[in-house]
Amino acid sequence: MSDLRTIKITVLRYRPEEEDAPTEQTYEVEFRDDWVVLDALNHIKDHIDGTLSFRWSCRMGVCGSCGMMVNGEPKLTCAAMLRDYYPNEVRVEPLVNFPIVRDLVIDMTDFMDKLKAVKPWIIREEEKPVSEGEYLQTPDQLKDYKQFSQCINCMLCYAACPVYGLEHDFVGPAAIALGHRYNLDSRDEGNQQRQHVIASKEGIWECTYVGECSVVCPKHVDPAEAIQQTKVATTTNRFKSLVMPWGNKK
Amino acid sequence: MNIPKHDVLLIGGGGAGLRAAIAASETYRGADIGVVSKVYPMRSHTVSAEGGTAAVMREDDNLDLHAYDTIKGSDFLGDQDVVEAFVKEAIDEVIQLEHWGCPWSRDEDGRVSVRAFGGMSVKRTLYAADKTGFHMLHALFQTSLKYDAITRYDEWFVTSLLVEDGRVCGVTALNIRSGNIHAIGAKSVIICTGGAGKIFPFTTNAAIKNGDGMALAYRIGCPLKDLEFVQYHPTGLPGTGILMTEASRGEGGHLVNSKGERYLSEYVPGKMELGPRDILSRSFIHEQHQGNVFEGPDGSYVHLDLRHLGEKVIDEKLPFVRELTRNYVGIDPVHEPIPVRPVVHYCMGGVHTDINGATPISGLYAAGEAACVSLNGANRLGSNSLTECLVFGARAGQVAAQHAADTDFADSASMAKMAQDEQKRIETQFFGNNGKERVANIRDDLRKTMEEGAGIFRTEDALKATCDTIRTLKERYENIGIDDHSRVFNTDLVNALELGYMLDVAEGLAHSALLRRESRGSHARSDYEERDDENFLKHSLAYQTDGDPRIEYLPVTLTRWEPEERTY
Amino acid sequence: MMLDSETTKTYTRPISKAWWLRDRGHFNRRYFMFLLRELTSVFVALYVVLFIYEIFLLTKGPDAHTAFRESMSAGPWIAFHIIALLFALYHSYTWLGLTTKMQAAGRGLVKIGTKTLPPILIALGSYGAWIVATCVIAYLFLTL
Ligand SMILES: Cc1cc2nc3c(=O)[nH]c(=O)nc-3n(C[C@H](O)[C@H](O)[C@H](O)COP(=O)(O)OP(=O)(O)OC[C@H]3O[C@@H](n4cnc5c(N)ncnc54)[C@H](O)[C@@H]3O)c2cc1C
Ligand code: SF4
Ligand code: FES
Repeated sequence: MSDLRTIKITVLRYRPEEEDAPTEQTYEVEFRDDWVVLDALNHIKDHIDGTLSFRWSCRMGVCGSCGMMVNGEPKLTCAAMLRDYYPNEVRVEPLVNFPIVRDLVIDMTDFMDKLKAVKPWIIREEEKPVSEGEYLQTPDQLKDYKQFSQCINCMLCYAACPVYGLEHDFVGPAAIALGHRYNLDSRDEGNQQRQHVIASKEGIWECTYVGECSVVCPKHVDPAEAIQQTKVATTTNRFKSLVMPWGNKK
Repeated sequence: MNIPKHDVLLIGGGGAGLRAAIAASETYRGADIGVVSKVYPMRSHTVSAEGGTAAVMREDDNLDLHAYDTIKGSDFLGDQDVVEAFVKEAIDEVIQLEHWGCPWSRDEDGRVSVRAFGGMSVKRTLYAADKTGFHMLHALFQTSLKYDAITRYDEWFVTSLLVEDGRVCGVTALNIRSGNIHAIGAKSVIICTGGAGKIFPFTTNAAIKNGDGMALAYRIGCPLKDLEFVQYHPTGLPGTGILMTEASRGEGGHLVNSKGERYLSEYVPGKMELGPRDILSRSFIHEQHQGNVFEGPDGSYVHLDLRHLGEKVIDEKLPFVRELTRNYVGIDPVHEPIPVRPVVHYCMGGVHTDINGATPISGLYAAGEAACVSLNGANRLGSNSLTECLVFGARAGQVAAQHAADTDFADSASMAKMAQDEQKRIETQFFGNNGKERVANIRDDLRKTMEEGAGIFRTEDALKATCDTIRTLKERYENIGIDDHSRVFNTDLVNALELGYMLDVAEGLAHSALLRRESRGSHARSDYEERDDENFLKHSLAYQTDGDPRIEYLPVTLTRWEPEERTY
Repeated sequence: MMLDSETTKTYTRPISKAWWLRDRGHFNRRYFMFLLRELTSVFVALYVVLFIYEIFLLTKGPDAHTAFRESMSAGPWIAFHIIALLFALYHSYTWLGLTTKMQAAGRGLVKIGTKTLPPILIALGSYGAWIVATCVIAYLFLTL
């Protein structure tokens, strides 16, 4: 079980104080059968080369920090088993479509701004006082949005999305899915306020349906689905208000 | 010199920190709040909490029952006034979170569901499938985005608390991105940095849980309370320490030894799998001594068997457990039992505060796992701590904001000067001295000695040895050298600073444990097997000195519940 | 809201012009199929132009139209029509396949009572409607 084998790990390095463009570095790591790619990176950092920088925290696939490109695919490195790659070499790069800050660390401020732009919080015309208890929500109503609430903000979907790569204004899969999550929540009344971001040119209409975001998502959020659903809902609403301008729009 | 300043400054953006930030900003109009976090707030460790959060929600339950369960769970070391305030305010807090969008699991009639949890005599644990902490943290974080009064310092690492005339007036923090150290001024500072599980080798805790905030307070003379109480969770995966939530037992899972017996009938016949964690973890060790456990590459283990629950219940109530076991041990709990063993999980002790989260030092507050109010006493009941983050996060936020309302900022120039000194100190210590000691080696040795001396069972000799080892590790730490001397995103430096915090907390912990010559809750001394209310019905307070820490004691607050024998 | 007066130099990787063909050394089928779908629009658009031109010729009298039809029977034009037809079919097929996305796993837009219609029914319904509509139009054309 715990036999040690040796695997080659090639890592993209970028040290902004020393170089203008990234370079590559290869390490050889002895690994145990139950090691993930992140374990190898930590082994390198602890025992071979302390200058290698990357983000991680939970090592259980839920904090969303450790997303990187592993052999060209966006992955949570704490959920990518080394044995699945062995005996081939493993190539680790920072998530594509994002600027590199240092080594495997990307700049995610763009995503943070977009997240805020979709107003990911409950919006109501009137707040119910806490003393009056919870809002009732049936399991069926919960199901309507549950899927879209599973996003861990790991940004693998942004790395997978060619549209985001080419067009940085695109609000992008995860942020749209999260906006959609609140729109579908029976407690929320903020649909209108999110429309100008989500149903805009930089929002759903930028998406040409490549579908790769949903393929790489480790939490099965299916952001492509959120975008398609919003497209349909937005179109039907526009159509409705066109043929029945008197109808109440909500 | 211009430095950023905030009325209230949070260190930590986990459950406690974000709840406190929102509470502080709602305390009075115009309150200006800062949140410093070494990781983006939604990465905080609250995200990994699985099982649920406790509050009295149903007709068959009442406040006194929740209070009694908590106090008995704490082995009568919890302060009873604190517990009473907690159970009362818990209800509004979990409903508040519901209003903020937390997707609690629901009953058919639309009310939030509750499940059974260890040590709780009725169902009172709210949950969002088995990703409760994840959903709570994201609901809190996303809600916090709408408060314009909250300024975030994401990926800034606090290196020290600034003190002037005996009061805390801000912090120095390393902007990890740029490598610069800045002073941030504040009228009140709240420590919400979470626990310190990473000072042990096998833990459910994330990489960021190194006791930073506890050490920050300790270094300016604030005592750390009840540090010796460390909770082992009975069901972690061997090796990785990944948690199999207690909800898996709450939903009906069984613990089975290598003989195929549900061995808990010997230890907690009344509660079986729903006994409290300290007792369950000790039962494992007893079984181990009797040779009734399985042996694997990562040591002994027993089985957590969920098969009889069926695929539907597992997928609906415990989907994360299934995801984790499939990914990490290649086991599908629908068809196979899961190997589990006790792993370090939670620190009952922490920064000493009163019922409002105020520490003895003016301007300094603490909440969440980093603090010890003391709700959890000698053993925390599962699902009380997420609620604790909410209740005492909110309290600390309010009280800190009120304090800020009638305080002034300290002088900017002197704070900027302190930041310069701090930058110099760090550069000399870590870049200047060409030390030979590696961070990882000292850290590994620390973890090893903590397990040996301060593990599930402790003795005088082993603890003394651990105290000695920690002393030599601290000396070795003086001679540390790091590979990375650059500025931008230098995680080598961050790890070295964290190691310093870990050593301080470990020192306080081992000495407190050495002097507590009794067994209570999670603190089990093989050489003093009985609880000793006469001498030890009191909190320990560890103060840093130039030599070994000084341990003082503080009486426990009792209101309506007399200490009694703790059997289940 | 993040205080970031201290951003540091970053490196942005260039995007290869052939990203849809070779994605960092790997052939990505989905990227390729996606581009193919985008490409279908070109053929569909060309066909529409041709069709409008044909209608325009009809107004010029039967001779012009007959001459046009004869020129269309040349090999390359037939090839063009076959490609355009295949692309139109591919486009319609994938487009209608997306309708399931409104509907996946019990949280769809189309509901009967509180129950969500299973996605497969939506897909089959869309394809069915598509085939029926095609038959009706073909019938009208061929009989008129
Ligand atoms: C696997 C697991 C499962 C759990 N399940 C449950 C459960 O089901 N129910 C329950 O009630 N409890 C559970 N707990 C316990 C509970 O999750 C924690 O006690 C609680 O989340 C702690 O929250 P916190 O806000 O105090 O700290 P954390 O969420 O750990 O946040 C700490 C914050 O401090 C910041 N920080 C730390 N040091 C520094 C520094 N030097 N500078 C700047 N920022 C810093 C971090 O960036 C982070 O934002 C579980 C714990 C674990 C490990
Ligand atoms: S939608 Fe999925 S891939 Fe995208 S950020 Fe969220 S969890 Fe990650
Ligand atoms: S380390 Fe948290 S998701 Fe990988």
